[in-house]
Amino acid sequence: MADRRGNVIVLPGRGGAAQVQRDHLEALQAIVGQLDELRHRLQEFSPHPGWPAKRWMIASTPFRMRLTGSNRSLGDLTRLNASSGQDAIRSVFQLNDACRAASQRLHDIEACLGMLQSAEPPPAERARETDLFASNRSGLLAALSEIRRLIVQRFPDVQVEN
Amino acid sequence: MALAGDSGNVAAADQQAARSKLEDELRGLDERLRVMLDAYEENPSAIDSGLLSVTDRAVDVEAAIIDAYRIMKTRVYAEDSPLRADHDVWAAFEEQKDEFIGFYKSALTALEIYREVLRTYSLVKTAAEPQPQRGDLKRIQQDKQVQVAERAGCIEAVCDLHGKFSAMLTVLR
Repeated sequence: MADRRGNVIVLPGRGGAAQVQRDHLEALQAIVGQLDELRHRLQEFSPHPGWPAKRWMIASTPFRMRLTGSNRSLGDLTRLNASSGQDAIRSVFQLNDACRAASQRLHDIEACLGMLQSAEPPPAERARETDLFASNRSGLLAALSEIRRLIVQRFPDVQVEN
Repeated sequence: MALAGDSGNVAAADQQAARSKLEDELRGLDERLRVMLDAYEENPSAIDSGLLSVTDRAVDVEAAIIDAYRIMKTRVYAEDSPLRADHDVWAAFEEQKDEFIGFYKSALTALEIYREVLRTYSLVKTAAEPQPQRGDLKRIQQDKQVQVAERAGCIEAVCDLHGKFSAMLTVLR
């Protein structure tokens, strides 16, 4: 099995199964850290319908700075989940579903932000897009919490901060 | 004889040191701009002395934002940037580059215009007749309103640039 952590592909070395297990755990903890950071940035980001485009650009920046890493983490998590044995097939599916839901919400949020940060749309359209953003924001926060819960349940050795 | 692994470790340590140094400098600039903007919030006319002074870089907001632009251009977005080693961080900075430059240009333009307004306003004020005449108050009020509105717009543009710059640094924390 090959893990990916940050920019590094970790190949199983001479340490054997125990080393693979440790690498696996470290990779999962890095993923949890990355997704927690995204969740934290999203919680801090509570927009107002009256915001002009540049306000959206500034306020969404901390969240957007985490997008690349978070998308990668969701992909890594899906791969790790699939390669971690099929002992609890239901958990595998649940975690995959949660990852897919989070990826979809991330994609939807990016689309909303793209619109809200562009040249001023009519107020009614802006208000509609802001509502849509709020709904996707709640959905993503829920999906991230679910991922966290499932990781802790499926991989009890992963240490997470509360 | 040094082993290949040793030289790899040394290179990684150098890379880490370069990144730490860059992050410290970025945070230093962030703090410098924040202190200036705090002062302008308390007393907006504090920006005037920096814009009219040609020597004191410590209070010169234009120098501070140019420094922020330069460090981004020559260090963060450089070919040998220490941030390139971290794919996620590097990609995040790359994605924000155009927006950052947009905010920088707006702030620089606002400062340039306000400096001209301020210089002209100072000239008009000092060129006034020794004895104010009836009707002068209205004219003075209008001149002052133009200058104050321009200053508010200028501070807002700098504030936006700082907001963007500061928000980009959150990925480093």
